[in-house]
Amino acid sequence: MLLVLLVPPVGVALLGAARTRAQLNGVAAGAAVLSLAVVLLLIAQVLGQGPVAFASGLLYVDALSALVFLIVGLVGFSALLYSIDYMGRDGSPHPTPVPRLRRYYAFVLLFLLTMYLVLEADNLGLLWIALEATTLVSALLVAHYGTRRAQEASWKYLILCSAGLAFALFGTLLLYLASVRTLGASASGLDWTTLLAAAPRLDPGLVRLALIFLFVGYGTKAGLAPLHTWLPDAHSEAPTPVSALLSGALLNCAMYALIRIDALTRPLPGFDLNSALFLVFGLLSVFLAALFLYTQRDLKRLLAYSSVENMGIISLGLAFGGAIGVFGSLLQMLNHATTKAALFLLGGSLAVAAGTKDLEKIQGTLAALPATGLLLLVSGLAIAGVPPFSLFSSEFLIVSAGFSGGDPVAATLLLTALGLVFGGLLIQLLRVLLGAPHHPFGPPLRATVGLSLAVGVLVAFAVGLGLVLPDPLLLLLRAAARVVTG
Amino acid sequence: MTGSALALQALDLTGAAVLVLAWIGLIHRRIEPLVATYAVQSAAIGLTAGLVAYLYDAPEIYLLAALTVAVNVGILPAVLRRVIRSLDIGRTIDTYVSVRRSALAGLGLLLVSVLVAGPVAPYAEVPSAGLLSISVAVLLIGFFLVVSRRKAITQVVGLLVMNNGILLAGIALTYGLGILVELGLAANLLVLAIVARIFLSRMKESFDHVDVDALRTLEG
Repeated sequence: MLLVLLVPPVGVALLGAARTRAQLNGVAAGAAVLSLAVVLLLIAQVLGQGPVAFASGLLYVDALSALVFLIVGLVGFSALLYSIDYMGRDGSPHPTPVPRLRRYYAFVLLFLLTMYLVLEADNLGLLWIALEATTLVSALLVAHYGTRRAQEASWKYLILCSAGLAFALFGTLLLYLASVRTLGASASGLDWTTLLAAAPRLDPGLVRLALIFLFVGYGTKAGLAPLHTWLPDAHSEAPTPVSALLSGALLNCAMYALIRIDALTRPLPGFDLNSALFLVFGLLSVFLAALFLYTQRDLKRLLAYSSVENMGIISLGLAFGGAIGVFGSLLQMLNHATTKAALFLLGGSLAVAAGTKDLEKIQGTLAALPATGLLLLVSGLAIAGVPPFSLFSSEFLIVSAGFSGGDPVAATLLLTALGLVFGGLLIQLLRVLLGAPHHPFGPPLRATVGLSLAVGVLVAFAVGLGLVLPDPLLLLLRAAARVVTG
Repeated sequence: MTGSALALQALDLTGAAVLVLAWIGLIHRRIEPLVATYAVQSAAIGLTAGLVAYLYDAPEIYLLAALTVAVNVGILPAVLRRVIRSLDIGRTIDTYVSVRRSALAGLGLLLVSVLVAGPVAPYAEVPSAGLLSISVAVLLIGFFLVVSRRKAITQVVGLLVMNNGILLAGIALTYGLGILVELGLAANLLVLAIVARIFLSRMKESFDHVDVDALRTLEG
């Protein structure tokens, strides 16, 4: 588990030593492959021998963290490889001078490092620090292009998420107070594992108050409505590989923090505020995002609102609870992350070819760029929840958990919202793919080995997971769901 | 009256001062007095920490008090003033919500805090039962400043007020963790200050004035 934390800093050091563009790209490619490899090793270790702990409860990796590690690992791998073709080379559509390219790669690696730390933290104080660090690093990445809009988006992101996380820190303090009262003051009083063991004896009044602040705080960071307003701006103004990281990896890290907190409060007798909060934030996010999908004119903003919607679906699965609901939510996290990251990367290629992100102007893609168009079609259908693709299966699980788990009203509302989303996404997708071209397309991103690999892996998940769930993945998901349901 | 009884009463007084100062932050129409109010509020928090240290005979909380005074009363306001001067940010506070309504909203937030935190407070291992409600109120008022004020610099002050709320809770509720909270906050603030400095100067270059009203163009 320490090996995982080691790759990014070593990468940054090598970037510092690299002189030429080719060397920088080489380091980025190496870091992409190596970090995915060590993440997979860590997952195998957790699957083989159960949870891994380090430094007496400071760091802890179980199946739940391993699952999100898989998500961050995959998206990080693709985003880094894609960056090389998107902005790293001389002939790239966004050619970047060597010093800025070095800084960009270094920030991406640090961004990955902070997300790894979120997933490895056992101490909830450390978890908070790591999430705050993801905000600071990624805000600088959002501002990468330095345009006025990028800076505004970045500032809004920084301020809103810092304010949200201040609530989360307050909630963490209250949780520590609850811990002190039950366990006495101790250094391990904020460790998730310690708190979980003591959970049934914690003061419900204090935990309730703590939970509200933690939900508002980490919910802001996860892009749940009504504090999602930073998300569409940050996601659309960031460089495309960073958008994929924000949407695919970072939102899930924040959702992971919420799930950890949720798991802590489940053992409390008669406690249901966690489900209520997931329900309210979930429904609000799903409906708000569904309506906004219809009015978007910008390709990346469309994808961003779809992320808000998906975070809502994941929340609802957790609200419905039960083994099926939780399993569905965790699967939805993986499905959404891979599919959405694929869509951002494909959308980036498309925007390069079309010379714009304006949805009104990008039409007739399927005829002009058959390969990109086909991949876009498949991933787009997947994100709209069409069978047999991946998101259909997890959304089906979540909806059926709602009907069987005793909340048919919310489940019906979710179905309605999914219908709205389906319509909104399909209208936009069909116009982009089939409409009459407004103006000729330029050449798309050259399909190098790295680029094909970056997009291919993600699309394979988006399509494949709807058809078959490989055994190791099934084991991982089941074990992760057990972490939550106890 | 013994020394500790006196200290307990003083604690009520400093707690109330922190709250009132947060509310006063809402009614300012100019930036410099807002920064000054923040500094005084931080001093009141430093005093609270000193009293808690005296009551519980906890030397590490004296250190916390000293740190609070040094960082939140000394360094941060000085940095803010320098930024205001060097970037020539206008002196007025532009708001999305009028000052009059802000003042009312502040009272509403106080009510919410008492309702939310009140039921928990009597149990808390705290010298003064009201401190939890006060820290929630300060946190909420700080958040209100962040979302209701236009200029980037005012939003930063809002964040700092939020941090003061957390600090107060850290001192009052979990003495012992207080120093960790302070160090965490200080590290956080340091990085935030660096990032914010970069932003403010860049925004200055490209916007001509540090006004985030244009943020609205990205909404929807």
